[in-house]
Amino acid sequence: MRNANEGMLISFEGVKRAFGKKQVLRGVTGSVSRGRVVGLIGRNGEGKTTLLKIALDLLAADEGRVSVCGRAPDGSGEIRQLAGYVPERPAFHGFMTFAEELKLRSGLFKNWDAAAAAECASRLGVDLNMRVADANKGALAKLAWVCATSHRAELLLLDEPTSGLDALVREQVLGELIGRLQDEGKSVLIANHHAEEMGAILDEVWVLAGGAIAGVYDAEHLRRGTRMVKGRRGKGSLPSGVKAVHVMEDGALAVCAALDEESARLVVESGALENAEVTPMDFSGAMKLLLRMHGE
Amino acid sequence: MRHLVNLEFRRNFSVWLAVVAVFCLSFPAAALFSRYSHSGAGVLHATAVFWVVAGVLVAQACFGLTAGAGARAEENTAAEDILPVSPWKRSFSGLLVSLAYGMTFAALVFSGYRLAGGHASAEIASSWTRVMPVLSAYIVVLAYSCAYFFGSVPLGLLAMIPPIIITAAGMAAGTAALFMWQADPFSLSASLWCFALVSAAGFPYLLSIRAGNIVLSPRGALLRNTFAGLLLLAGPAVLLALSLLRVHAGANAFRPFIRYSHELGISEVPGAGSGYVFMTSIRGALAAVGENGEIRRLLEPAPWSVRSFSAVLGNAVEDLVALPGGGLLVLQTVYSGGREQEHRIWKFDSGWRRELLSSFRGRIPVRAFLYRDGEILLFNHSRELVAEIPAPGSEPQWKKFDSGMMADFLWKAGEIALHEGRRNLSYFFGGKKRSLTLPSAPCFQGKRKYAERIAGSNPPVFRVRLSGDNNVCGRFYNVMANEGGKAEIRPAADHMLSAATASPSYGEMVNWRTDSIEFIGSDGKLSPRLETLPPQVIALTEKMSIRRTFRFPLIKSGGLEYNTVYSADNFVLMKYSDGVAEALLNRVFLVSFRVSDGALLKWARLPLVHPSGGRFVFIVIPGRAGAFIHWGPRLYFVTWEGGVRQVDDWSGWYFMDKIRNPFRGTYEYSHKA
Repeated sequence: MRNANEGMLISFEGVKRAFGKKQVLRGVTGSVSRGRVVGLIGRNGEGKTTLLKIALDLLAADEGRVSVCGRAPDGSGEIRQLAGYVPERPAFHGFMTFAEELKLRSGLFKNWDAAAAAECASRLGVDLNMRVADANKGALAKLAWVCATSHRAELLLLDEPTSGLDALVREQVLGELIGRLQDEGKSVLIANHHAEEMGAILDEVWVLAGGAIAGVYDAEHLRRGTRMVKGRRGKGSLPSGVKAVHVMEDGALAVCAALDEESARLVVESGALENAEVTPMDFSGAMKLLLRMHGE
Repeated sequence: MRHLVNLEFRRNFSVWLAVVAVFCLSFPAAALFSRYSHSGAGVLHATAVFWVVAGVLVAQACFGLTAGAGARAEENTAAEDILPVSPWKRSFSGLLVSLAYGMTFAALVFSGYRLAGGHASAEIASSWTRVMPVLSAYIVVLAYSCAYFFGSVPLGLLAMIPPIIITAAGMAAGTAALFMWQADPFSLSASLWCFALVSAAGFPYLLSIRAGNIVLSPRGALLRNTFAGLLLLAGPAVLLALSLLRVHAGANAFRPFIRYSHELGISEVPGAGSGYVFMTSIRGALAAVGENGEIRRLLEPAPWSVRSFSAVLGNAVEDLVALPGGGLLVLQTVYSGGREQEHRIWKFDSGWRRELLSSFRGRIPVRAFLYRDGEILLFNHSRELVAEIPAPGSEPQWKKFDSGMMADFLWKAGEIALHEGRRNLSYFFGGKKRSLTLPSAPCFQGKRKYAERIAGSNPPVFRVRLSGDNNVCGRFYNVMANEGGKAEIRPAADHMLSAATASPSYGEMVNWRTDSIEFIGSDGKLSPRLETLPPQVIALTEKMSIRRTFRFPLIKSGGLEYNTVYSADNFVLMKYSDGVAEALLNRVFLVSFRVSDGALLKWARLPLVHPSGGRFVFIVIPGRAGAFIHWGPRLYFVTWEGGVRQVDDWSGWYFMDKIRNPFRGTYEYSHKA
């Protein structure tokens, strides 16, 4: 009998983790298959970073099973040979230069590709002679990208990867770099607040809410199928079970967001909005819709 | 692992480099300072002692810093978390690096100490080797336990309580042992020392707790690992507790802070001619031991007094002077507590009846005297002297050291006059005053001089030392007067560490420049120069499977103790007379050979017991019918015919005190020359 998670680059089964009395993860279950780019969204404090650190073997789960590239986290750090990681706040040794940081990694990562590192650094415009202590936030973020993508990892775990990058580089990183990784068949799990940036590259979106994966959505559907319903406040209310939420009420004006056309139709028919107008919604709005849907 | 080790090296390099730099700079600074000090050697010695003491603490703190990951700022920790290595590998690399740093630092400290000299170095070194492994293991394991087992500050603090209590108790015990008999145990200096010690010991703990909070947080599992951590802690904690909680052992653990003035020594009194050697113990006891095995107790021991962390001083026999016609003058210091010491001058007649000639109190140590015809010169550490024995209870009238007075007294003593600021040496021989001029020397204009007539030499043989204001720069001369009243001057060395001298006990003169040795007879004549032992003697050593070589000279020097120069350990001249040398090979083979042709006249293997363990003194003191051999805890008398009698054996006991040796049954003696 084949394991249900076989072929998955990363899988979580009932993962729980608490910090003191605060239960952050209450049973996360989900998996990412090869070549997929998954966005992980959730409100602040929901445990996105915790989940990524558990996957990277930086934190131990209290309960549940984790598998990354076929390995279970064991504290040895071997998983980090297989997965690249861009942390939210990249940290390096202040007494080193960028080149020395790469050299250190070349000795520690079995599959370190110095040529790829050089090429990536060049592409991002990283000055390898710069000292870490003198580097600005953007330069550190770029270096983190170089480090994460130069050891031929099959899986990339990105925690707010564009934090600190200027708009041009952000576009370059997300549009080009991740696209290339995707083309190479690598899997990516991205936790990012700036969802609008990810719209074009995601295959799937996970919503982390209440300490668990509250919903998994196809990114293509989110890009094309979400609708916004605008109108005057009506006497009716949103029917139960409909995949839509009020996103704004301003006096007599009300706006609802619906996950798909059917939900938008039900909103219109419910009488919750009068003279309703249905329009397509952008990806950023769709992300907000998901957060509101699962946050309430 | 190599990359991690490199990383660790770089991470803490600046801290260690700073410590080493300060250490290296401190000695030139001390040397500079010593030029303005009364005791230049003392300044260097104090610097060396300080670094031995500080070295323990610095090493502890640095172990805490490096091994305990205490120096890992959060930024560094985050930078390393994402590397594909386990925390254990990271910690192990930290351990390797901290050990490397620690060993390097220790090597530097001891090299510095050796270079600076100091006769207590062996004791301190052995104390270091005894204490440091336990403390270091304790600190390292503690730091690791905290860093990698205890993930929370409260739990870390909880875990710290037992070791802190243990350490504090050990320190209290050691401190109490040190200050038990001190009148003023809560003096400012003592309090500061204790505070510094406790702070230094606590520092690694604090670092560890912080490190634990930083490093461990990524992988918690606190409860599971707490037990393992406690187990890890238990071993060294128990070791330390066993070591420190015993009062005497506590004092022992603090021996790096202690410089013993002397423990057990044998004092030979030249010219006594009584067939006795005089033995002193650490507690100030004095006994005369005769060639026939008779032991006369002259002064009883007293409890120890502790003066400070830098000096443990019991009652002490400071100096002995043989009286013409028999009898003995003894200068004794009695430490009754407080800052002042009582000084007593005893006179023993030929029947060993004693009389208290003088007794006075003072804060400045009185160390030596000269005596002649009822006149006495007392010297203290402040370059002062007094010429008249004060009546018991009255204060001596100290005067600043007057070189003319000194020379005059020496002149009256029939010994030698070495005039301040001049190169003239005057002496009596054949009823006439003789004088000669010493060669010029760079340090000649200095104030410190030393001249000594070798006992029994006739014509006289003098050992002369000239030096500058400090003991670092000095010159030695062996001055031999011949019957015609002319003197032969042999510059022995340009450097103190290589100083050659004519030993009053052995009558040998080592020429380190030519790797040769000459023996001095009681008539003042030198033997033919020997570059190695005669072939027959060497053949004997080969026959007896003595593997050591017998090339001359193998000089040992006590560093700043300018007059402690020995030939090889395995060759000790006991007597040279009429062209025949009596010597000990490998300490147990008594050989007699004619120097002129190297003929082996006789040999015997002496039934002496080699002391086990430790570092032992080996002293040969020629007497009338033979020689005393003080070897470790035993005293033998060996006749010139090869007969051996064990005069005393104080294995396991302090000589005469009959107090169990608190220092774990080991014996470390320093000879009070």
